[in-house]
This record gives sequence, C-alpha cells and structure tokens, in this order.
Amino acid sequence: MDYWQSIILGFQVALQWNNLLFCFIGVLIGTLVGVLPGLGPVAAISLLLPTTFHVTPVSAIIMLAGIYYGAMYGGSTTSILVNIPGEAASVVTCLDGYQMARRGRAGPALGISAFASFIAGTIGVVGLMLIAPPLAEMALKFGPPEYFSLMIMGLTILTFLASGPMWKALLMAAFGLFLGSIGLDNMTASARFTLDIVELSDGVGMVPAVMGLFGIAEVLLNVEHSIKRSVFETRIHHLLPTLRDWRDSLGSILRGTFIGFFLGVLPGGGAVISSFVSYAVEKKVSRTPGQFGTGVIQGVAGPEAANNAATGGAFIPLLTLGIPANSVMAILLGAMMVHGMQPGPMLVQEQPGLFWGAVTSMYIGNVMLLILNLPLIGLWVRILKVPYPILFPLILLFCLIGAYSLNNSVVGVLIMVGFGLLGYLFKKFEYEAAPLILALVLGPMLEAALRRSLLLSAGSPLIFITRPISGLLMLISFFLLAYPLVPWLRRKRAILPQATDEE
Amino acid sequence: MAKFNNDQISAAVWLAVGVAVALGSLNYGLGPLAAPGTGFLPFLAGCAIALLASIGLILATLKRHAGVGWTPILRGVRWQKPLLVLAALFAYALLMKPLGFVLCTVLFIGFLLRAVEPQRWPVVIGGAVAAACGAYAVFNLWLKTQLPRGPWGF
Amino acid sequence: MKIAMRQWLTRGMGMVGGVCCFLLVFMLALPGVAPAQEKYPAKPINFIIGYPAGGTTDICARPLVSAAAKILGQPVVVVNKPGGGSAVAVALLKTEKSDGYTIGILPSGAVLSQHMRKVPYDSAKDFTPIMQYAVYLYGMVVQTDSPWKTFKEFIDYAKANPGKIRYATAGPGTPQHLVMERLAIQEKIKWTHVPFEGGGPAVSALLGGHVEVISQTTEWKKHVESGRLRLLAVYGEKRMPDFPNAPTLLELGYNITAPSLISIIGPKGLSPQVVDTLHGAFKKAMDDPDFIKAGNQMDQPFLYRGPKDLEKHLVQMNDEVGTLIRNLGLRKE
Repeated sequence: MDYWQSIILGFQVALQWNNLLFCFIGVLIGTLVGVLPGLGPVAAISLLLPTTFHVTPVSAIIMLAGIYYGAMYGGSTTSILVNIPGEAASVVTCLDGYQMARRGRAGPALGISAFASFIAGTIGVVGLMLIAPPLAEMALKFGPPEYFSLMIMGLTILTFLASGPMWKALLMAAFGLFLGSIGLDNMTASARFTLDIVELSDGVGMVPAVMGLFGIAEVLLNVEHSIKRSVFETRIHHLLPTLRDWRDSLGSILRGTFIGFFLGVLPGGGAVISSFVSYAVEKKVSRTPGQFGTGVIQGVAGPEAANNAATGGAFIPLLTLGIPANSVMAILLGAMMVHGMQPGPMLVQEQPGLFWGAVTSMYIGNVMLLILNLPLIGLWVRILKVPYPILFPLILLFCLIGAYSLNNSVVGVLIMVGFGLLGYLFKKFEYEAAPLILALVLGPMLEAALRRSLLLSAGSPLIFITRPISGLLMLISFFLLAYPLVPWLRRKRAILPQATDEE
Repeated sequence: MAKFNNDQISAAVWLAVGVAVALGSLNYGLGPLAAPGTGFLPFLAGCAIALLASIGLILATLKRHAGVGWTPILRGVRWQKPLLVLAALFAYALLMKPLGFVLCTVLFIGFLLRAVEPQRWPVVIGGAVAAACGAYAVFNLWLKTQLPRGPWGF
Repeated sequence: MKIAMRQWLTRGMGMVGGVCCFLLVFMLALPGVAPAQEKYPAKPINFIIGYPAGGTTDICARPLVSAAAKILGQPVVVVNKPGGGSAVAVALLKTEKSDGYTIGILPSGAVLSQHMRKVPYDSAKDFTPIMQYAVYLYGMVVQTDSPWKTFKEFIDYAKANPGKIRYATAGPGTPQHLVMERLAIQEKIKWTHVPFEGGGPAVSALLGGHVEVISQTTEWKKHVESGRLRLLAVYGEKRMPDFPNAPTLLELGYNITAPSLISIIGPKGLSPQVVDTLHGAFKKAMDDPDFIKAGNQMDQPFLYRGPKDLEKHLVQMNDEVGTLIRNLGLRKE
C-alpha cells in the first residue's frame, strides 16, 4: 500500500542520525523556550535560522518543527506549575492543571500532559496519512458564514466551561470581543480605540492579557494569605500518573484527539478552539462536572491531546491547498517553496522524502519529548518546593520580562499589569477569565467572517441559518444556550403541579 | 454598600462599560448591514455587554430580594499585600527605562522579598542581586532580548 | 523555619544544577551568538509582510529575505501581518523605530488604499524607500464548471444580473480591486466586493464556491494549470507567457491595466548607512537562484529600482493613481 511506503520513506529520512540530532536540539530548545514566558517559538526560530542555512532543508524543517511542538509542551509546563499559559491553546490547561499542582499532583498533571500529547500526536500523524484529501475538500466548504458560526459555537461552548452563571461567561466573551477589536480595523486599516497610543495599533495582544489575567492575578490572590497557609501541597505523592489516573483520562485523550484533529484542519484558530471544545466535552460527559476546575485530570488530558492533534490536522490544508494554519507551517511552506515545490496535492508526489520526513520526524519528536520530559518532571516539581514568598517575585519577574520583550516596550508591561489588576477583581467578583481570552483571540477572525458573510448575502443575516453547515453549527449553539434553561423550566413546571396538588 | 450585593455592583459597572463601548463605536461608523463598517463589531459587542449586564442586574436584584446581600471581598485576607505588589509592578514598569533593567530588578525583587513576607536581609539582598543578574545573563546575554539599559550601561 | 530553609537549599542546589546543565546545552545549541557589536546589523531584523503566508507576495519574498539574511550575517524574521490589502502592515511599520531593525514590504495595494479610503499613512512621505524588486501579474479567474467560458460571456452575465456576482480579492484598495471597480463603471455593472486578507484565502473561497469570481495575483496558478479554475483575462500590458490563451484587458477593448509594485521600505528617517547596507544585501539577494525560481514559479516578474529611483517612482505613482481614482469618484471616506 502506498501509505506504508510513504511512512517507511519518511522514517528512513527522519531516522538518519543528523536528522535525529536536529530533532533533539529542536525539542530541547522548544521545551526551554516554552517554559520561559514571552519568548515564543517564533522568536526562538528566528534565533536559530542562521544555523539552518548550512544544513539540508529536511534537517532545518525537522528542527524548526521540533522547536514548535517542544514550545507547545513547555507552555503546558508553566500553565500547570505557576498558572502562566504560554499561549492561548494552553489557557485551558491552567484551569485544572494548576489546581492539580496546588494539591501536590503536579507530577501526574505534567505526566498525563506529556502522554496525552504523545498519543494525540501519534494518532494525528496516522490520521494525516489516511484521510487528508477528503478532509481538505471539506475544509473548502467552510466559507465566511461557516467560520462565523463555528466561532460562535466555540464561544457558546464556554457556558459549559463556566462554573458561575451563564450571563457572566457570555459577558466576559463579549468584553473579549471588544478588546479584540482594539487596534487597526483588519479590513480597512483604520484605527479603533487606540487612544493615540502607538503600541495599541497592533491590538492588545494575547500574551500580556493571558499573563496578567492568569499569572499576575494568581500571585495577587496568593499573597493575600499568610505564610502559614502554603500555596502548594508540598507532599508529593506520585511523580507519574497512577493506574487510576490512566483509567480516568484515557477516554478524554481519545476524545480530545478526535476533536483536535478535525478542528485543526480548519486554518486559523483550530488548536485554540479545539482545546476549549475538548474541555467542554469532558465536563459534559463527566459524571462529576462540578469537580472541574478543582484539579480533575480529565481537564488536563483532553485539551492537551486536542491541541496536539490539531498540529497534525493543520498539515492537511498546507498539504492539499497550500494554506498554512500557523507561522510554523508558513516557515515550512517557505522552505518547501525555496526548493522548488508547489504546495498542493502535487507536493507529496514531487518531494516525498521531505514531506514524509518532516511528518514522521514530528512523530519521533513526540517520542523524544516524552523521553526528555519524564525525567524533567521531578525537576519541575521541585520548583514548587521553593517557599512561595521567594518563588512569587521570580514568577512576577518572568512575566515582566516576557511582557517587555514582546515588543521591547513598556506599554506591553503596563497592559499586563492592568490585566493583572482586572484578573484580581474578576476573581473577587467571581467572573471567569477563560472566555475573555478565547474571545480576544477569535475576535479579529470572527469580525472578518461576520463582515464578509454580510457582504456575501447583501446584508441578510439569514445566510447563517440557510447554509447547511453554518445552520447546523448555529443550531448546536442555540441548543447549548437553551440547554441550561431547560432544567430550570422543567423544575418550574414540576413545582407548579406539586403546588396544585397540595391545594 | 450593604444595600447592594456583589453581582448588582459588578453588573452595574459592566452596564456602564457596555454603553460606553457601544457609544464609542458609533464614532467609527457602523456602515450599512450589507457592508458593515469599522464600528460594527465593537458596537455589537458593546450592546451585548450592556444586555448581559442588564440581565445580570435583574437576576442579582431578584437574589437581593431573596436575601443575598453583600459578601465582603476583602475580609479575612491581607488586602494590603496585593496592593503592595501591584504598586511594585506599576513602579517597575515606569522605572524600568530610567533606571535600567538590572538596578530596577534588584530594587523590585528586594522590595517584594522584604515587604510582602519579610525575609532576613541576607536573603533579601542576595536573592535580589542573584535574580537580577541571573535574569540579565539568561535573557540579555544569551537570548539577546533587548532589556532597557540604565544611564550606567546595564 | 531554618531547617526548612536548609532543606530547601540542598534540594534547591540540585535544581539549580539541573537548570544550569539545561542552559549549557542550550548555549551550545546556539552558535553564532557573539557578544553585541555596534556595527549594523547587530541583531535580527524583522521583515513585515502585509499578506498571509502562502500568498504570491509571501512565497516570493521569503527566499529573497533568507538570501539577504545570509549576506547581512543576521537573521531576518518574516512577520506576516495581513489585513486591509496590506494597509494594516504598512500602517504598523510607520509606527516602528527607525533603527533599521524593522522593515517591510510596500506593495501597490497599500499605495492605492490611501487614495481610496482614509488610512493612517502616506506612502510617498512617511517611509524610507529601500528597493523595488518586482511587480505583480493579475488575472480574473472563475471555476471551470461555471457557465462562463470567456471574459465577454462573464461580463454579459454580470450586466444582465446586477448584484449576482460576488468577487474576492486580497483586500480593499488593491489594484485588482481597482480594476473591478473600473470595469463596473465602464460596463455599468453592479457587483459585490468581498475582500479577504490575502490571495490564498481568496482562492479557497472560489474553490469552495463562496464567491463567483476572483480578481487576484497568481495564487490561482496551480489550480488553473490543474484544470480546476479558468483564467478569463489578465490585467498586464502583455499576455502571461505561461497562459498565452488568456487575453489582456487592453486586447478586449478596455483601456485598463493594473498598476503594480512590490518594494521594500523602512520607517521614515533610516540613516543612509543603514539604507546602503540593506539595499546592497537585497540587491545581491535578487541573484539568488531560489528567489529567481520562486519568482518564475509564481509568475512574479522582477523589476529593480534603487532607493532614489523608488522614491521618485512612489511620488509619481501616488500622483497618477491619486488623480485616476479621484476622477473616477472611487474615494470613500
């Protein structure tokens, strides 16, 4: 069969010793970069580009891809340990991962996150090989109205994410949409709500918002309490997930993989939406949804699997349509173009060595990441044994440097500190920050999709309902919104007859 | 304060925010529905904030009548500490450029170690200097992040 | 407390040791990071492209940029900031420091945009021109299974069915948008413009059947070659060598060609030494075989102008397209 030959060819390329070495360097640097906030994978790749001039394109791509998923993994590490998500896709990991760490279960959280990533990455690569072409055709059916409806569905799913009342979660999402609209209008380039601050032209920025709302706010809440109440449970029971953890999270990993892979096919936002969707699904299928947010392992395993599987899915539009889903795919595409390859269905046939080499190296990279990170878990967990009064200034310092180095500007730092204050108040008044982040990230895309859809339909909002895929997504959103009201209505109805009975 | 509960207060603030956002968006032009303009989405977002805040306000008022009052948000905690930390963060942002990264960081870490949960002075000074120099070495020298320099070159 | 501290210190040492090993490996993996020099360029340069990755502009610019980076001896990092037909990226570039560490592409779309609507920059005044390296070729493309076999059939349909045709471009104010507006005026057609953030998404929208036609640079090439899309007309002065059967608008009897420019600029006030260094590197990079290959593959003809020529050309182009757009009454506030 064709696929087997492709896979064998890929492994032949990826298992050459120099490619293995580059893969290892890539994941190692990626992990470190992911752990250091503010220094994203793109910055790391820029630092390493000169070294790739001297190596073959396959090696270069393998290393750059390694940095990318290494950084994704590193981002989860800081989410779990200190509540600072390195990127939007790991915001969800904070919700339960950090709570697990506080209960002395940082080890299992980190472990299951590594295993979930590994399993999802593996299935993602296999899926990529088997069902790429039909999926790409399906992705084409997603026009502006479908994207809009998909993002609306992503936002309504937040009502499941939220532990508080629904109106608060939706309000945070609406506020996030507003924050996302700050900056230059993406369709006309006219400035909006920038208050004449030059740095705001480029928007509020997800990273300072996330570090403020999660990292800084968490520190502010922790220093309120006296030293007697330690922030972390220092007695660590297990470094690795137990058999019971495995039983609990295996289903979550598989569901997350499935969700991540299919949503990852859609260019842009796939990894972010899929991690949120996966969390919502886990909460829905759980027998104890009330426990979510207090350190449930399924809440870590599902989303981590989802955002990793999305990486595999993201290859599909690149491979079949030449549309890169993120900046790393773009670099990959650029490298392919330089070597005379047209993106598109022909690409795999013309340069099978490079393409399958890169794909299988991602698989090998996942193995390496697992081998590299399991011993490191012990090291990371030890960080939590540092007394909090000494640890917290360092956490703040990392956030400050991260926010500053994004644009080398104090404005980024001020935005982050402002979001820290906001996040503190949100906690005090019981608002959840996660919906805000998702809306902030999706905002610009959602706006463009909305405006394009209305152009397509000459101003008729019916376009969102009459087109089949969009209509289906809207219907799901509607049910998600109506669902919490149903038991409320049912209870009302149940009370009424009872009342009449008593009369 | 005791007249209202927490959700009533926060929802009222959000209502004001929503109205302000919606009104502010009008300046940028909504455009016709067939070709939405720059202010279209922020206007919708502002309206949504205002609408949801109104719902929240109504629900919270119903709860108020059901007897849910103000829950103090600062009782039983050392609310001065987060205030100190916030002040330090703002001061750091403002002094970073004039003082330079290293000095500013030494002062910042030193202040936090001493003021929030007082450590012994050797720990304070040693920790502050070590953290500042370590961070400088990692970020500025190895990773070549452009951290601000003070008038004395570091 | 003291015991706890000592315990922490001993454990902490292990941790510190681990981190040090980690950093050591990291350092070894970072060759070429020498102590800071004052000579320009002393650190990586950001290169802003106003279209998404995978479009014609991006695909051709990347090999040019990596070739120039080799010559400059510093990484040049491509940053894609799509939106508003490149106007978003150019507006952001205007706000950058003029230290030579942030430069970017000024394409014709960003020049035309300033005459068609309000944008926060003036392409003739707010920037330091560095070099022009190419021009674009454009064409009008429909699906192969659409009823329109020729340009004329398509125009006749559009005239008979006002409001039925929706066309996609890489943004408002791009030359390919202007061509459509001019056709609409001349033929009294009413059709709808759906701007995307780049050519790749516009082509996807056509492939998915969300719009009837696209007016776009050469992102459609591979799909026309594979027979999935049909090229109706091109907007240059001559036919495209790869598609000799597609007529130009001039041949079809319209006095319309698309103005075209792809140039590299920096924020206003770059020092002459920086401009010299960058210009020298990018000019040399134009001989890079990978760049030439990418340009030929994407049908993006090379056209070189040095900093002085480009400066003059920008003023002239702004005058010309400004007058044209004003006379056509296409400026919207």
